[in-house]
Amino acid sequence: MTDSNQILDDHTNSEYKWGFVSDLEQEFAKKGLNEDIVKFISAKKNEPQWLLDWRLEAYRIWLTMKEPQWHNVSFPKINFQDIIYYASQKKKPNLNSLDELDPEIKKTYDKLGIPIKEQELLAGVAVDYVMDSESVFTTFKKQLAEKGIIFCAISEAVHEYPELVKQYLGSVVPVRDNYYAALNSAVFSDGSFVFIPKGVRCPMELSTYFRINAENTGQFERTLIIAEDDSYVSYLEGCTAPKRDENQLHAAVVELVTLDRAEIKYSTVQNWYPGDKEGKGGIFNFVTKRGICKGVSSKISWTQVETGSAVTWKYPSCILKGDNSIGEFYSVAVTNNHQQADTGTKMIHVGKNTRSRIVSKGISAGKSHNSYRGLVQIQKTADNAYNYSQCDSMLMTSESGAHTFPYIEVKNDTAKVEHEATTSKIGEDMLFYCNQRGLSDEEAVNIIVNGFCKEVFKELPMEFAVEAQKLLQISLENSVG
Amino acid sequence: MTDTQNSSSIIETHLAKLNESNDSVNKHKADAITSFMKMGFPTTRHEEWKYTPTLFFSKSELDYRNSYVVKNSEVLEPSVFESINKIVFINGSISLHHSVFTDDIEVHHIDASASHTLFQAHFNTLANNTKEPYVAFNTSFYMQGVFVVVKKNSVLEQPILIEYHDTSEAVDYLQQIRNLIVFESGAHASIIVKHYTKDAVKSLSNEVNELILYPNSHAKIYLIQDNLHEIQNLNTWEIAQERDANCDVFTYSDSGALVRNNLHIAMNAPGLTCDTKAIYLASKKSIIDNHLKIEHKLPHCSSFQLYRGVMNDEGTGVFNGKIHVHVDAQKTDAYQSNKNLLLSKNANIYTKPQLEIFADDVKCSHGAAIGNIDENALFYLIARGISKATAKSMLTVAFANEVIEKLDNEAVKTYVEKAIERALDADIRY
Repeated sequence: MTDSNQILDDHTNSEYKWGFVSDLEQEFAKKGLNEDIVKFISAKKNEPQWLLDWRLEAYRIWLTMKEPQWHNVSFPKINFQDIIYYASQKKKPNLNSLDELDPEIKKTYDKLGIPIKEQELLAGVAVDYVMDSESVFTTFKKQLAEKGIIFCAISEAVHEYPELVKQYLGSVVPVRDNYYAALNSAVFSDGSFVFIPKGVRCPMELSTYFRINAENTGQFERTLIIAEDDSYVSYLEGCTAPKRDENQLHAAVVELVTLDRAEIKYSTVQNWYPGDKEGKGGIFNFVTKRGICKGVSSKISWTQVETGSAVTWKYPSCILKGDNSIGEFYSVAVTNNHQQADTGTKMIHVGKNTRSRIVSKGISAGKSHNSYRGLVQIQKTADNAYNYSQCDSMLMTSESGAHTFPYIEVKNDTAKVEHEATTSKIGEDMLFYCNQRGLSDEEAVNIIVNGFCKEVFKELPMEFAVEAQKLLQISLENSVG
Repeated sequence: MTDTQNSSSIIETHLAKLNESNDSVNKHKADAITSFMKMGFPTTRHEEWKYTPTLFFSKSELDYRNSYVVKNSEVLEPSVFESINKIVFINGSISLHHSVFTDDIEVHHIDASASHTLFQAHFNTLANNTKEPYVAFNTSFYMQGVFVVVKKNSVLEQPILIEYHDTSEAVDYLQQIRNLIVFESGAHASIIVKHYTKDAVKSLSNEVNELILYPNSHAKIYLIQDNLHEIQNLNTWEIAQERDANCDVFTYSDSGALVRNNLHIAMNAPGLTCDTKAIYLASKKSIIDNHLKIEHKLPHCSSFQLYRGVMNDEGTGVFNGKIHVHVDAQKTDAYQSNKNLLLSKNANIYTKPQLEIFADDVKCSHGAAIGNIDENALFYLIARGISKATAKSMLTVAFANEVIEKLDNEAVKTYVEKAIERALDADIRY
C-alpha cells in the first residue's frame, strides 16, 4: 500500500506537459458582455443581418436564464463580465503552403505533437486548426471540394452557404436549450462547418484541433455537421490548452444532423488544462453536443476520451427521430487531482425500432470526482426501441469519488432497456498477477486501465486511438498499485 | 381568498402560537415551519419530485390542524394478520380503544411522550426537515401518531401491527401522522403496516416514521399498501441502525392514486447489513414512487436491494435508489437490482438507480432493466395449451416471485401472493 501511495504521490507531482504560451499578436474585444460586444463580434466577422439578429436574440434570452445548479460539480461563480469574448490574430494569414505559416504557430503545433506535414502526407487527414477563435488554415479543401464536401470555418460558411447555415444552425440545440448554449449562440466566435452531400462517403477523417491561447479569452466554438442521405463522415476533435492560473471558460455547441441512412462518427479527445495539483486554474468545459438522426436508418456515434479540464460538463446526446436509427455513446473519462467531471449522454428514442448503446468508463484518481449522468428516454412512439447501457467506474484513491446518475424513462411497453453499473477499486489481485509476471506497478496499471477502456478505444479512429492511449498513460502515470 | 393565501395565513398563526411556548417539541415544530416555508411544496421541477405531482396537498382546502374524533363504536374491517400487538388509527387518529398490546412494548400517544427520555433523545433526530418539504410539513403540523418502544431483549413472536383504517369520513381530514419507534438493545420484532380502506375514499395522508435500532436489535418492516383505491399516500421511513443491528424492509404496493415511499436507512456502525425489497404494481392511473437512500457510513457494511415493478393500464412507476458510500465506508458491499415489466401501451416507468461513492475499496453494482414479458417464455407456455392471458399472468407472478420467495414471514408471503394475483386479475390454476 505504501508503494502505491508513493507512486500516486509521484504522479500527482507530474506536471501538465502542454502548458506554454505562444506569443502572437492578437486583437481583442473589450472585456465583458453586452449587446455592443455581440454586435462587435458580428461586425468583425462581417456577418449578415439575420445572423446578428439571431445572436442578439440569443443574448436577450441568455439574460433571462439562470445558471444550471443540478450538476454534481462545484466551482466558483463565473464572472461573465470578466471574460474577453473575442480574440483573433491581427494579421490574417493568407497561405499557399504550410511553410508560410507563422513560425510561432508552427512551433506551438510542433510542441503539441501535431505533425502537420505528416498528417497531410501520410495520414490523409484534413486539419482545420482553430487558434483562438479564428480558423487559421484549412488543408485538403480542394480535394474535398471535388466530392462536393464542404469543410470550412463556420464564419466562412455563413457567407458562402448561408442557406444551409440558416436552415440548420440552432435546429438541434435551440438557443434556449440551456444557459451555456444560449451564451454560445450569442457570442460564438468560430468553429467548423461540414456538409456531406447525398451518397458521398467522406474519403478521409476530418479533424480540428482547438487551442485556447490568449489569457482570459473564452472559446465559444460552434460546430455544425450535416450528412445528407446515404453519406458518411468521421470527424475528430482534439483539444489541448496552455497552462493558465485563472479559470478559463469553454462553452461550445456542436450540432449534428443525419438524414436518411447517413452516418456521422464524432470522436473527441479532450485534454484541456486541468489545473495544477492544488486545483488552481484549469478550464471550465461546459459543452452542449447533440445530434439528431433525422432520417430513417441513420446513425450517430459519439466517442470521447476526457482527460483534461478542471470542470467538465458535457452530455453528447442523440435524438433518434428516424425509424431504425441508431445512437451510440462511448466514453472514457479520467479525472485526477481536483478535477471534476459530470458527463454522460442522453438518448431520446422517438422513432420505431431505434437502438442505442451507451458504454461509459470512469476513472477517478487523486481527489477528483467523476460522475456519469445519463438519460435514456423511450417515448410513446418508439416501438421496439432498445437500449443497453453500461457504466463502470474505477477508483484509484480513497479520496476520489465516483457517482452514477442514470435516468431511465420508458413510455412504451415494447421497449427493452438494460442498464448495468459497477464501481470498484482497481483489482489488487489483477495487480498482483501482473507483478508476479515481472511487470512493474506502473505497467500493470497501464494494462489494466487499457483493458478497462478497451471497449471505448476500439471505437476511436486509428490515429486517435493511439493518441488516446498515450494520453491515458500520461494522465495516470504512476497512478496506483 | 386563494388557496395559497389561505394556507399561508394558517401557517403564520400556527407559527406565532408555537413561538410563544418554551416546549422542546414546539421548538422542533417552529423550526420545521421555517424551513418548510423556505422550501414550499415541491413541484415537478424539484429533482426528487420530478415524476410525482403532489401539488394537491397545497391546493387542498383542508385545515391542517383538525383531526378526526374517533368513535369507540366504530366497526372496523377485521385484521388480515394475527397479532396480540395492534395499533389502530382511524382516519388518521389513533384509537386506543381498538388497539391492544402486551408488556413487551410501550405505546404512547405522541403528544403524551415528551417526558420520556427515549423520546427526548430521538424525536425528530432523523427526520430531514431541511431538505424534505413533506417531512418538514409533517413536523410542523402533525396531530397524531404513536411513540413505540420495543423493550430491551424482548423477542416478539408475533408482529406489531400498525393499521390505518379509512372510512368515508376520511376525505375531510388531512392525515399527518408522526411515529417514533425505538428498538431497545437486543429487541427483535416485525412490524406490519397496512391500510384498510372501506370505501373508495379520496383521502390524503402524509406519514413520517422514525425508527431507531439500538445495538443488537433486529427489525423487520413490512409495508403492505394494497386496496388503497383513490388514496394519496406519502410515506417516509427514516431508519438509523446502530452496532450489530439488522434491518429488513419489504414494501408491497399495488394501488392508490399516488403512493410515495421515502425510505432512508443510515448505517451508523461498522459491519451492518440491511436488506430492502419491494414489489410495486401500478395499474389504472396509479403512480407508485419508491425513493430509497441507503447510507453506508462506516466500513464493512453490506446492503441489498431488490425492487420489482409491474406497470399496467395507465400506471406509472418511479424508482429512485441511491446508494451513498461515505469516505470512511471502505469494504462496502452494495447491490441493487431494479427490474420492471411494462405490460401496456400507456404505462410508464421512470427509474434512476444512483450510486454516489466516496470510498475506493468498495464493491458496488446496480442493474436496471425494463421490458415486456419474454416472448419465448410466452410461446413456450402457449404451445403447452395455456391461454395467452393465463400465460402472461403466470409469467408476471413468476417475475414477482423472485422477491416473494425471499420473504421469511409466512403470513405476509401468503398474503402478498394472493394480493398479486388479485391485482393482476389473474386466474391461475396450476
